Amino acid sequence: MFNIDMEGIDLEKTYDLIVLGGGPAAIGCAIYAARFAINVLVVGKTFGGLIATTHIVENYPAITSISGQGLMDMFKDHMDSLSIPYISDEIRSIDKVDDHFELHSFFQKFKTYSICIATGSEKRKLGIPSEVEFAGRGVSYCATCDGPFYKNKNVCVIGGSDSAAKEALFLAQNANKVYIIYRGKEIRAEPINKQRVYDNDKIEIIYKTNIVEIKGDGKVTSVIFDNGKEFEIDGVFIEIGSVPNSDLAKRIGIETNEKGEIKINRKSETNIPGIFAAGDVANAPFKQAITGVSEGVIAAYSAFDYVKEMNIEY
Amino acid sequence: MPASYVFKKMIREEMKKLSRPVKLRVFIDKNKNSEFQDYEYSMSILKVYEEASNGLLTIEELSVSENPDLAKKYEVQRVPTILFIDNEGNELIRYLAAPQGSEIQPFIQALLIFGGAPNYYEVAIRENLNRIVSSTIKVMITNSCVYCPQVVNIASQFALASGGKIRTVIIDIMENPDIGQIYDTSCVPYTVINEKELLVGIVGPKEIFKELMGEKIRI
Repeated sequence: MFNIDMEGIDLEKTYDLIVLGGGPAAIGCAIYAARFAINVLVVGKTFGGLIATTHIVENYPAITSISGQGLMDMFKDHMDSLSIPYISDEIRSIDKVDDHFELHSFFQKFKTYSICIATGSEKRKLGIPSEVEFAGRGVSYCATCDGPFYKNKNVCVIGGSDSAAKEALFLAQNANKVYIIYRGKEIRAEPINKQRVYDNDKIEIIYKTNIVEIKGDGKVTSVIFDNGKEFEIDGVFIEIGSVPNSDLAKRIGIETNEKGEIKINRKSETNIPGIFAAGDVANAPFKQAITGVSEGVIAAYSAFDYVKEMNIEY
Repeated sequence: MPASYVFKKMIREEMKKLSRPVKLRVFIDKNKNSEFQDYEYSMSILKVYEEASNGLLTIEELSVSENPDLAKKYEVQRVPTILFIDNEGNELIRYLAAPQGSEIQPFIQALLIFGGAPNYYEVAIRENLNRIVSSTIKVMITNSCVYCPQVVNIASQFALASGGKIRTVIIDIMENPDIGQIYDTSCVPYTVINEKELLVGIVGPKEIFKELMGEKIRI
């Protein structure tokens, strides 16, 4: 559980490290920072990140199988055991003032000597007008949240990644039929999940197909394929990758790559001294909870070194 | 380990942080012929909170059939209805949901702040109170929704900071499917502000605050 009575949160002091984000990278960073005995505060828009919506995690070492929510609950407990404060808020600007940074949200101002940006990513949208029209009325980005609404109904998952396969497997627990609609020739799921999809009688894959329109009457009733065919469906779950939440980083001059990911080195350093980055928002080629944690841990160590070098007198 | 045991343990642990007395009013219906739904399960959950509070949480049970005037005053249309009512009689938070599972955390946080603990959003809400029209934030949730507790948390804290100007209603739409049908939603969290602004999916404090304020923000 969080420090839900704001215990340990001091809005007047200058923190050694403020971690922006609420997913595995942010939490890994905060846990290590706390153990390095530097003052750390976590400010995140949402706690848990994308992993929280994963119905099953089977590749986190030492944990054979757990829900994404269950894993995040364990992360929360670990944070709480170290009295790491967490605030639900979103930073909109960062200014360098003398030897520290000032962070401004809609609600407060914070001061810190170093920052770790671990703001993660968000689900990519299809980008068709009807997607917005039917959001919450048949279009969804979270199977664990909305799957129960589709008991005995027909739904589709758009995408061919491992996440798409896992969404389909979760939805198949309740739905009558799940169609995976994928533009490619073969889904790109991990072999173990690919086999589970193939073995599930409720799941059918429609290859080499894109959706160009979602139709309905208040709620989704069908989708239109790029071959012109209309396909009746009750729910559309979109799982076509993610985009990094790096707008704030870009605004303050942090270098990003062509995908918008923050460029970091092996010490999780960005091009701005004192600002580090980790997790899905950074430019690591392989994005997993465990790799995010790893980058967060490295960022914590680098921040610890950075703050130590400053010889701050408290 | 049964889930109920884990939840009870969590409630007992977190309720230790309650340091001041608080009272909740819970409308039920003891009339056996009532059309209302079964309330006993929710009451058993609330009793766990009460028992873990070291006497600081009081659950006042009010039967709608025995208290028709009060039920009318607070427009109680279904049971159980859990109400956070301040000393001036303002309804701040209404739960049409059982505070169990992942909803334990925002419920206890609301209890603590209701009892006087610091509220992170209080300064911003207070500074802008004269720009906010009397508002109702309805947050529709389900038990399995991982992001719902965060929206519930924010909306509840806004209401608790508002001195009665903002009222937050938490609705489990699996338990109250008719309400889900009214709003025609198949997505949670689903937030409705003043019956016109719809926020679909996970939203942060900034988004809710902006919808309450329009363009009149002063911070």
